[in-house]
Amino acid sequence: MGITDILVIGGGIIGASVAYGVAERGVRVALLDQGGSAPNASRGNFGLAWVQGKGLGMPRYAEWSLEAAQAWPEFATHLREQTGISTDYLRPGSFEVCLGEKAWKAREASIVQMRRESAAGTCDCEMLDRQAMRERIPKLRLGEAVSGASFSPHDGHLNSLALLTALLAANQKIGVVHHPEQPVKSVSFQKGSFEVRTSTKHFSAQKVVLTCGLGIKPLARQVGLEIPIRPQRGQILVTERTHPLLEQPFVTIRQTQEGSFLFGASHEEVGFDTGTTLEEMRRLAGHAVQVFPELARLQLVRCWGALRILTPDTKPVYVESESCPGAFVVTSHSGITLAPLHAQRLSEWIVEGVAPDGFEQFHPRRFDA
Amino acid sequence: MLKRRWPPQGKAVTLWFEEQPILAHEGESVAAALLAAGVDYLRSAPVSGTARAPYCWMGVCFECLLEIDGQPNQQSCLIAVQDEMRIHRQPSSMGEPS
Repeated sequence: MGITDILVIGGGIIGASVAYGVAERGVRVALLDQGGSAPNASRGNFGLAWVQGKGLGMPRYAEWSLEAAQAWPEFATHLREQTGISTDYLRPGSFEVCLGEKAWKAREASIVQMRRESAAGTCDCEMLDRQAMRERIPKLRLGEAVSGASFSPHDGHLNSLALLTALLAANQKIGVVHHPEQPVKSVSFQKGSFEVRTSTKHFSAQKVVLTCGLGIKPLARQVGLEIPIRPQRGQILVTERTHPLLEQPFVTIRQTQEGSFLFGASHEEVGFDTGTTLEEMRRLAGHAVQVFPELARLQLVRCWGALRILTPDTKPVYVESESCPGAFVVTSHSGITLAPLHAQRLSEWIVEGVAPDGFEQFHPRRFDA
Repeated sequence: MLKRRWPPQGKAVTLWFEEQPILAHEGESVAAALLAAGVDYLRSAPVSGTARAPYCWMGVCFECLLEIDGQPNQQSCLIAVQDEMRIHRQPSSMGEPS
């Protein structure tokens, strides 16, 4: 049995970010993770720290994402200084490519709408025509169908495996106790504190934070919260490594610092199936070649399927239970983008009870029809 | 780089690596045979340009990629030698950096 102040349940990027942040306030923290069998989005994702296009319909989320993007460079430096691990974070800005004139017009309209909804300065995407795009991507030829792109100066990309490793190392350094193979069976609220059971261990804590992605739903119910999240599969293809050709990430195409290209972004409603399909792989590779025809020369070396953690509006949930005060849920499809804020801005809320401004917008009551 | 720990069991074969003959034995992998013959790297990292050689010997690290009989990106640690194989270090699929 372990006694601690705060128990963070879910040791992926979100859990490790939250645990690190609260531990920096000097409280005792333990971080529990399900281990190898978890459908772990932290390991399967595409590696974007991305703002562009986020927050349509929820301006607070657009601001929150932008704040995260602005915090990222310092956060990456901080993690490297603390742990010696580089996350390969770079912030060259990002493209959202448009194929055909109609797509370009639609993209422009959505940016105009976001700009109208948002506070001044929080949506500074620009629309680039084909020629302007070509000037920023000097080493690859654009496909015929490319009409242009929207460009956001805030976005970056990184090695998400290195990020998870760095976060876990930073946690260890600051004294967080990590239990990597402890799937949680039950959480109960008794006399103002929480009892958490795994199949072999029993923990007591003043507060619990559920950060276990797709595993949140059943545990949240035990602390009086209904969190409607579902898995959505995305497949990713990896090419052989090549010399640096593309600096800026796209939603669907990026080149890693090691030289591999990643192609991604399928959106499949297939439950917890993490498999791959020839049909989607063909589509993803076909799209990449449509954007950059020369990439057809690269051999594919690996592919996988990973599960996104989606709320009905794809935006984060931050909530403390009313019936079991001290139980928190933190979940987002954008655990990498938001990592600096999950480490730096949630600890005051979780430890002291002071939520960031406008946080009520992230309450899951917005899903109650 | 590698030494055979016991006398080769398989039939002797000839590989052609960068147009040079290499003695190998049936049952050996291409990567092992090349390293045993004194070849000291199989590829260059496309980003840093540093020399690389097989690391995992089980098909996951992709440090052993070679062009074998005209096929690029062959995982030479997983491919058994055959007589008269033509093997080259591979040029970049995307051409050389400009």
